[in-house]
This record gives sequence, structure tokens and C-alpha cells, in this order.
Amino acid sequence: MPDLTEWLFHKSVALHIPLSVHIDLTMRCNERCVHCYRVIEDRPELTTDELKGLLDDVARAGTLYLTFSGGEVFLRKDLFELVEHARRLHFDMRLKSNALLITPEKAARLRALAVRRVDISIYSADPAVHDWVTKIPGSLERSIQGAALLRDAGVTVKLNCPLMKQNVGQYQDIRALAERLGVRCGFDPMITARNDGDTAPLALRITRNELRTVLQDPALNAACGTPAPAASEPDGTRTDLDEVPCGAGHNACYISAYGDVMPCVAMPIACGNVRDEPFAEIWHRSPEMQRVRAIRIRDLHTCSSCAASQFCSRCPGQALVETGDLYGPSPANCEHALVGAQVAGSPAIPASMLRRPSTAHRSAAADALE
Amino acid sequence: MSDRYVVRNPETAWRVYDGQAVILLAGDSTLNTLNAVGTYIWREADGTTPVSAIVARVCEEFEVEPAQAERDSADFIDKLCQRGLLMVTESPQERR
Repeated sequence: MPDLTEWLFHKSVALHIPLSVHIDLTMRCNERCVHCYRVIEDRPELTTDELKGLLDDVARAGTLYLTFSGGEVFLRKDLFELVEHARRLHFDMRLKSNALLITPEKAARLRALAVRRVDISIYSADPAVHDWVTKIPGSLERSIQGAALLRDAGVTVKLNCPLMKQNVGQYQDIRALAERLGVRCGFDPMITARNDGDTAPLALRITRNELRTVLQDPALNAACGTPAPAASEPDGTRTDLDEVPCGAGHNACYISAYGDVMPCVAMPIACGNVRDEPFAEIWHRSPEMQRVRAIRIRDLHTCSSCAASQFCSRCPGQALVETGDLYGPSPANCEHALVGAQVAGSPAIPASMLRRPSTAHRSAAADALE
Repeated sequence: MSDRYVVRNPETAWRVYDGQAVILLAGDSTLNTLNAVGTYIWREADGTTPVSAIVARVCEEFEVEPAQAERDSADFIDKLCQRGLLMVTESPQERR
């Protein structure tokens, strides 16, 4: 039986359909998280009518998976009007929230609107640590209460936890909390720089040893010790050189609260603004989008010959934010690939750790995006 | 079957790509895909068109014998009802 998810991925890439679209409804937030990468700009956010028009356009473009995020989505007074509009357009809806503003009525309404899932950010099962991250006293208790209200209303909930130095020792407690609540949870060891290039959040990243501990936990890393399906020959030669590096700009798209269209939430390359031109025009004809869409693995000057690629989940946006080079390796991803290989007992070492990336390539890549 | 109506479960999310419907049910991330005939029936399942009329259109669109189309459509509708994607009613739904 064919894997329908894989079929849909390849179909949408081949047809240039923005299968997954992430829209930030607002940059306003009622938490002040230490690791947050969002930047509030001095521009007006999209209005209700602009967002409804955008949803119409995105539906016409073929988007199935729609994520509303922010900022805190429940700070928008028109959230339910927008969700209702989106569901009339038959989107599969997911919300990202801190759940501080969830009430029984709101939870019931989300269930009635058939929102598929609400992802809630939880940083620790210890209020002192969680509230230190959010800078809001009492926020853990309120988020847990929000999660329980959603669960009781029949909405699927997932707790999302970015791992930082301050909470990495407590991930098992978060897993236990999720089990007690009867909801799913997920962990992400990647802390990124802010979208304006401020690297302050990187100081929160976990160490190599901490990452090894996390990757060695079979409960968190089911594939631990089992390399991913080989995308390479036994000698390390990659066999996926004509594949796309990821879905960004191929079947995934991000639209900021200010209307900027980007290939992915993690890839801050503004390709146009929906206030200036229709979404479809930007998606299909923006030169920036087309350049990102043209990239194949063989174009990645270091990663295309990396022996540790099967342990790597390279993020091009991460590479761009960290080094300014969309075509190069992300040092953070290389670090993860190295530890992943070590945990699996492989001697593979990421190519970027064997030699320095070519300056000539980096300049050409940077030039291509200007 | 001629007096029945089929309507898409309002909790579904769906799109049609290259003539093939892709359908999800809220709370379940399982993908369902339909072939061209199934996609045609899915699109017509608005709750206001009788199944008999949908079957007649299938016969015209796909050049299928009526008896065959009726049997296949009934099987298809049953299957999608079992998966929770379609619902059958005895009277037409109000247009929204």
C-alpha cells in the first residue's frame, strides 16, 4: 500500500501546491518567553477582511493544512470569525497557543468547528521553570488548565516543549504531565536566533552532552540506534541529489501577521506582501520563491557530499539564519547530526566538520538571493 | 436508494488535486484519497442532490451502465459512511 502522506508530498511539490500554510495572526503575546524568535514590527497587522480574503486565495491555491499561530492567537478578537471562515473553506486547522485564554466556551467552540489540534507551549512541569521562561507568574497552571479544558471538550491537544539548558533535565516530567493529562507531547532541541538576527536566544541551547542524553532516550527518539532510511550508498555518497532539500517554497509557505509571504516560518526571505499583490502571484512568480524552489540537494555545497546526511534533518532556513548561506550547512544541524551518528554507533562525521565551507560558494549563494 | 441524500461530514477537511480528492477527518490525521468517480460523487454530495440524480450524472460523465453505476455508487457511499466521511439522510438538507 502506498504511503499517502509521501504521495501527497510529492504530488504537491510536483504541482507547486502550497499544501501547508502557516499564518501568524498577530505578533502580540501575553507571555514574554526568553527564547522567542518573533520580532514585533511597527506596521499594521492584517485586518479581518484582509485575512478572510487571504484565506480565500490560499484555499484556491490548494492549501489543505492551515496553521494559525502568533504571537498568541486568542488575543485576536476575530479569531473565531477567522476559524469559521477557514473551516467553511474546508481547511484542516491547527492552532498554536499558550492556552492562557482558553475558557470552557472557547474550547467547546473549537470542537464544534472541528479544529484538528491545538498545540500548547509548555516549558516545564515545574512552575518556577515554566514561569521563568514565560516571565508570567502562574502561567504554567493556566496553560495546564487550558489544555484540560480543550481535552475535555474533545479537542486533540499536543504539548510542545523546546529544550533549553534550563529545562532539558526535566523533559521526563513534561512527558509524565502529558500522560497525566492524556495528551500528546513533543520536544524540540533546536533554539533559533531571532528573526532580526539577534543571536541572544542561542545561549539557551543545550550542550552536546545534553543532546546525547536526549537522543539516547528511546522514548524520545524511537529511531535511536537505527539510522534513517539510507539516502546514501555505503561509502557515504548521497543518492538523493535531485531531491528537494525540504518543502519550503515547494509545498509549504509562511505568511506573517504583516502580510509578508515567505517560503517557511523558519526561512525569513520576504517574497512579497499580500497587501501589494495576490498570494498566488507571489507564490508562483516571486523571483525569491522561484530561487528557493530551484534548489536541489546537489546545489548544497557541503551537505551534498556529507557522510552524516542520514542522521541530519538539515533546515535551510536554519542555515540561512545562522550563517547567511541558504546553500550551506547549519552548524546547529551538523552538531545534531554528529551526536545522532555517535548515538547510532556510526563513525560518520558531518562534512562541515571535516573542512571549512568554501567562501566562494557562500558569496555566490548570498549574491543569488540579493 | 433513489430517495436518499448524501452529505459530506462537516468535520472533514478536503481538497481535489489533479482530479483526486484528498480527505481528512478532524481528530484523525489519516488521509483518504478517492479516484475520479469517487471524487465526482464526493463533490456532488451536498445534501440536496438525491443519490439517484448523482448516479445518473455518473453514468453520463463516465459512460457507465446504470445498474453498474448504482451498485458501485452504493458500495462507495457505504464505505465512506463507515469511515465517517459521508452521511446519508432521508430528506434534503437546507442549502447554506
